[in-house]
Amino acid sequence: MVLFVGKRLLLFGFMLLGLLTIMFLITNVAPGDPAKLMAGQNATQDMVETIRREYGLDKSLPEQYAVYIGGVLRGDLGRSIVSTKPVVEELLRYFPATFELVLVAMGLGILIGVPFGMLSAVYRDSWIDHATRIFSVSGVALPAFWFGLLLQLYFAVHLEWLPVSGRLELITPPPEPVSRLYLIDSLLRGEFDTFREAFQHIILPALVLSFPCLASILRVNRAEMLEVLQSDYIVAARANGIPAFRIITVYALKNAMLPTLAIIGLRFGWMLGSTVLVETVFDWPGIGLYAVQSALYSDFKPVLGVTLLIGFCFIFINFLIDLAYGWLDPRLRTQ
Amino acid sequence: MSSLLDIRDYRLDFDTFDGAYKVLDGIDLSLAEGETLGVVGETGCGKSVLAKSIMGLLPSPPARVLSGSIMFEAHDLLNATAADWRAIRGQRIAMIFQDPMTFLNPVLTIGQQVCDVIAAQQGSKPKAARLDRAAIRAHATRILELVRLPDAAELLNRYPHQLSGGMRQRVLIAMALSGSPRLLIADEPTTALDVTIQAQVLALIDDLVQRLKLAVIMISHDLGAVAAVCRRIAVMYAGTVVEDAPTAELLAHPRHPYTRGLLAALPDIDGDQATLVGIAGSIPNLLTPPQGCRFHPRCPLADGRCSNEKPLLRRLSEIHRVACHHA
Amino acid sequence: MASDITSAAPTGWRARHAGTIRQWRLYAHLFRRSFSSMLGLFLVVLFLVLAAAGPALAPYPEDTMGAVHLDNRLKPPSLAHPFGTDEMGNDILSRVIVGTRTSLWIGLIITGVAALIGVPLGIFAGYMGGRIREVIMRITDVFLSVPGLALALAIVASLGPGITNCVIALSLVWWPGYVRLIDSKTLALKEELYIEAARAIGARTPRILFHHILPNCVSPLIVKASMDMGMAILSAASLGFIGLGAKPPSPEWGAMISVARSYMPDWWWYALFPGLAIYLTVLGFNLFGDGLRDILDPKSRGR
Repeated sequence: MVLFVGKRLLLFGFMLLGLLTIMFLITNVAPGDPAKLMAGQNATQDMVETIRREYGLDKSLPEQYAVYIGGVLRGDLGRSIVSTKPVVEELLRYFPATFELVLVAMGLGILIGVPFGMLSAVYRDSWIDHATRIFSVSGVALPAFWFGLLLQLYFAVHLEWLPVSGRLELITPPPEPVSRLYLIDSLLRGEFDTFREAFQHIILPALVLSFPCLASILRVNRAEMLEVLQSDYIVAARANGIPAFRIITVYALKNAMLPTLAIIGLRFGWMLGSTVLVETVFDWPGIGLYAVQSALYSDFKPVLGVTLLIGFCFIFINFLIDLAYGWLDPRLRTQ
Repeated sequence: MSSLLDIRDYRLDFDTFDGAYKVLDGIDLSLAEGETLGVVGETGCGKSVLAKSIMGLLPSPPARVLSGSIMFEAHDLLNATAADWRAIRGQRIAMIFQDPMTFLNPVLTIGQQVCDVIAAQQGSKPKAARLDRAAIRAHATRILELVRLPDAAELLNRYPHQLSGGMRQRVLIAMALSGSPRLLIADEPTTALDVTIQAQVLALIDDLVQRLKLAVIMISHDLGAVAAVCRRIAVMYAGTVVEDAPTAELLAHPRHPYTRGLLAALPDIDGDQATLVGIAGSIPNLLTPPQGCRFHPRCPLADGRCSNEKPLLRRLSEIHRVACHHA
Repeated sequence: MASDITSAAPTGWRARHAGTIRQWRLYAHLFRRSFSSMLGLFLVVLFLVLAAAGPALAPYPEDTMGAVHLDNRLKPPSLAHPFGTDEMGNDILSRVIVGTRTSLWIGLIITGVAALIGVPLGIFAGYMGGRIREVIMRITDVFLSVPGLALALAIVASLGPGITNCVIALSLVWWPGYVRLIDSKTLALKEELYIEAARAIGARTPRILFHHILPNCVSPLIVKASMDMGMAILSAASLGFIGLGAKPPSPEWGAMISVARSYMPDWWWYALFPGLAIYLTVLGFNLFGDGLRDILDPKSRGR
């Protein structure tokens, strides 16, 4: 077990180093002059040279690489040109909003995806199965930004049930920060009106964000359940008189959850990536919106910072899932 | 002898894209209380399908019953409801399987699986007779000891992958016997095991059968394995029973040409026979089975009658039945 | 009936290829039986036709090249303009039709480049095994550790916006999936008896690769490519929506929605129809790929 965790930790460290290397290569090996790009189109040659020196872009690649890695390790991701603030500071400010959104969306994805995947497999080729299949394929195909606009149009503008965008109304003060997740903080502080408002604001973006994830969890869970339900040990369990409900919920689901867990980890990353779109549509003040607005100003330190953070979260989640795998699958644990 | 299981004129097709496979073609078999019957035949002759039919484990579609009945005690198994099956599976009829490697759930401990089987049986008992958790675990330990597994209590905490093939098969046998069934169906119980383990498992089954007065249907392509446990043997070919007789009688006086072929194909330990004899040809395609006797294209005795008229399983004597025009 | 079994060697093309013919008939039968597969096929064919004949089918072809009709701005759907008009007075239907070609090209290039990079690497890794495989697969893993859209965003940000850079960025993030797929397939095939047999009788490595391994990778490859066409189109449109892909006057679906967003909610048709086109195209390729997978590669559903 110790060996298992140790191996995963080593891999985790390796992946992080790889991620940093890719980010470094993107900025420094890409054709085009990063100094020029940073300075903007109307900059004079002098300004470009100043930027080049200031950012150490005149040094050799290995030197720059060492400087870059050293900087990241010290928590220095550079400064935003637009706001002139350190990128790390801004990431810390925007990340909780994204984290809250992704958590709610992932919760929706798992809570809806897993049971419906099971149902669909158990009632294979019934109307439930056909409906979930069309639903799951279309879930992946829906352009998140367009789907978000349509939901805004219908639920916020037409029906006026839910707010159009943002995390809270502009005039509502956010709850005293504890976790910086509004849903949790407002409950902790007993501000139930704020909680309701935060909840109403998060419904649409979380729904849009969870849709592709929900669809693929459903799909994988269905496929795995189908395969497991045909396996020998299920036949044996039936022959031994174990009730059907228990066979499905314990004997089959526990086996089917292993691959489902892998897809949950994968989808978590995709979800973080899609916040770029969903946060743009819903003006959700998270790292996705921050990245897009910075990219539009050619302010690329923040963009790289966000990509790095997303990559880090993704690797971390998959590290956790690897550990969970070991816990769920005795063949890995007791080796 | 009253009959425990009675199969009459049972016909079953498998519907596929290519058409209907005529897998079972009029099976007639019965089994008395405490009787041990071996069902022998080549791979694909329908013996496993027959076993799964008795347990109600065939998915439909593709399986489709055309005619016949399977009666067990007072139950009509072809029309049993889910509630009927709950009372039957594991408690009246139990089954052990071919490959002990794949028939245990890899992510649950042996204890969880054995206890689950016992717990499932409590549902059909009167409230007062039900076992509580501790009693279930004690019973689990007891039945593991019954199949001569060492350290039974410790074994309950292990996972299947930590056990050898022979041990797993014992666990499966223990699970099957935990509900004191009247009929045990063993589907190729030793095929996937090493030869030495095979002998041990066969000896164990034989011992349990005698002690518990179980009726057994043991399915195998291995005539030797079946003869070690069963008093009576039915030979199947391409979805039909071709011969049915007590083991000694069948081995000494086989009447069907297919049975004779099978016996001739057995290696002779004494070495009297220098060459092994096979049966020419191969099993027919059940999509378009041969007219008349399904064995006639491979049969040395076949004549015009064999290719037109299906031979019925007729009684040669009180104990010996055969389906051949020439027997 | 005995003649059936002992009949002479079959003659004629049909008889000799009976197995193959049956296989294809089975494929066709399974595919036709599934409503969703047929829907996918229909959508794919529909958009392929639109892409091929685009400008010829568009009712107002000049509207796709930056014409301005100020008197005709933001008209709701009508008989003359079934999808309405945009802020320049251009016919949205025409722009959506012409946009098909752009989108399909983008999808094709991204998928093609990704496969061209990924397939050789995957075969190489799987066949060589050992150190070489370890190195290739670790690099692949690192690329897969950043969600595609986020990585593409970073690449576009450093290359500068534009449709070409957007295609380059997406191609660069798309190949690792192919390495994984082909590597695992090759690894599995390498253990197959017939490959071992070929090696045992002294077949050379290139021959084994091209005659035994590559042909067996074709069906999962087709399935993945079909699904990826859809997803690549979706990703490119997403970058267009953010404002980093195609620039507005060009009729690209994502860019059209990007502009249309500022005309929501009153001029809803402007965003509705380009989005519907993206959705149906991606849905078509996904359903088609899903249907193909069900018949060609039933073991690997779900991923």
